[in-house]
Amino acid sequence: MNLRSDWPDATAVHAALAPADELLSERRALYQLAAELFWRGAPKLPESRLDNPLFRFRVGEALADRIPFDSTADDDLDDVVTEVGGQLKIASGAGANDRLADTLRVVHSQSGAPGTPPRLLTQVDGESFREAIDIVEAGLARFREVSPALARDLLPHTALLVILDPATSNGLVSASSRLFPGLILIDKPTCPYDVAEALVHEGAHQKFFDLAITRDFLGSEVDDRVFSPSWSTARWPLEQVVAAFHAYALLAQFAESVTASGEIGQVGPSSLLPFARERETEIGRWLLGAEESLESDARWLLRTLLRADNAAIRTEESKNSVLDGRYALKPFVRMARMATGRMLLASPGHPPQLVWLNRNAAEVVEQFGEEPLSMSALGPEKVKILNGLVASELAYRVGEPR
Amino acid sequence: MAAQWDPRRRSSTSTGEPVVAVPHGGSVSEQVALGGRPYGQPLTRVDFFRRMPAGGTAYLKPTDSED
Repeated sequence: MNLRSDWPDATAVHAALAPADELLSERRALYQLAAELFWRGAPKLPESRLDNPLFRFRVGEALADRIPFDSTADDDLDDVVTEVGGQLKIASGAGANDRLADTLRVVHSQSGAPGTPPRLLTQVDGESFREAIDIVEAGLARFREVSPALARDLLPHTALLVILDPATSNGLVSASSRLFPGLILIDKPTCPYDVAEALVHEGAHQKFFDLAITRDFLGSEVDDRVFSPSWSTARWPLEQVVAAFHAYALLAQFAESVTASGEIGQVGPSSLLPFARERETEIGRWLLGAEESLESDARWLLRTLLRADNAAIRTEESKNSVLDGRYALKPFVRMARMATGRMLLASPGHPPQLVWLNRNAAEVVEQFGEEPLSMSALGPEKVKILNGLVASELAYRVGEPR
Repeated sequence: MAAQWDPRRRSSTSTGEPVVAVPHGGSVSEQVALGGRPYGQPLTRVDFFRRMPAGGTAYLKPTDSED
């Protein structure tokens, strides 16, 4: 049996968009800068806080202009988590159910699962919890051994794993919520591959989230088209389709690794691995017919993972609408520079604006010194960038040309 | 109107310094295997927080999952 695949390595595809360390650092910089927008005198926050799904929920809601940020809220989870395998944090303490009750209620509501919200399995549950932790450790080990590059690529994006009490999980195998990025829920596992597969499946969604807030993935315009997969009665909006496509691509790659290891017979009865490549392809073909609604990096990801031509992806160029004159950054614009040359600008408002700049665009912002910048001092490419800054309400015209 | 811009304030942000070492993407051979490079854009607005969090993903057994 030929186990070689000419499907692209998704970890290399991710790295071409953003090397893993760079992506994590830029995502943390985004949450730090956003916190500074909402929180006067915000300190430099530790990674544990910037990665905390409850903190990310509160920042995300403020960025979406839905819930104001409360700098006094307590989202600390450090005293209710245990680290497994030197990396994976698991909610384990007796207080975890209370601390995560609101989160579980929201995720349960989003999941469509019947009944009341599930509860966590914790140390209070004694032997049942210890059994689950042993299986999680074994599952993490299988993931790292069978597909080490994928494990290195995905695991840093998962900040917290919670294990559900099987008496309350109501048929939920695994879940994650875009409201609580970094958080993965799994039913009490019955075998190591239940855990490994959930870390790939839901970890893919965490990776996607971080790409989507740092790269050019989805714009503000909503596409009304929906996709109904052949295996389900579900109807997915475009953003759900592209996230599912990405998850199935990673599951398919993992399936090939598990098959190559000779352990495919050890996957659980609810495994999606046997169907992953077929489903990735079905979703991807539909997405190719709707790709004009994706931004350039998401189109590149789609085409590259599908082995379609990705060399000629172009996006519509916005028309230059800035008038000649002198321009300045708006007051209260804050910025963070990345060592890569990229820059993140943030401006308060309703909603707040966050804009990533590539190295060329960052150079234009660097040219905004203490004096306003004359448009006539810029070449055509940089005038386009100035146009984008004005359109994003980060820069404005302060006067006539001199 | 130059007073609209206060460099002291902006440079005082705690994220004003480089936050990450400069790694590079995949090797040359990986890039060849992947075809063209990501196109990217000079400016990328972060609209995801308003657009995406209308839902989550849940895999329910036996078959009728959300993804």
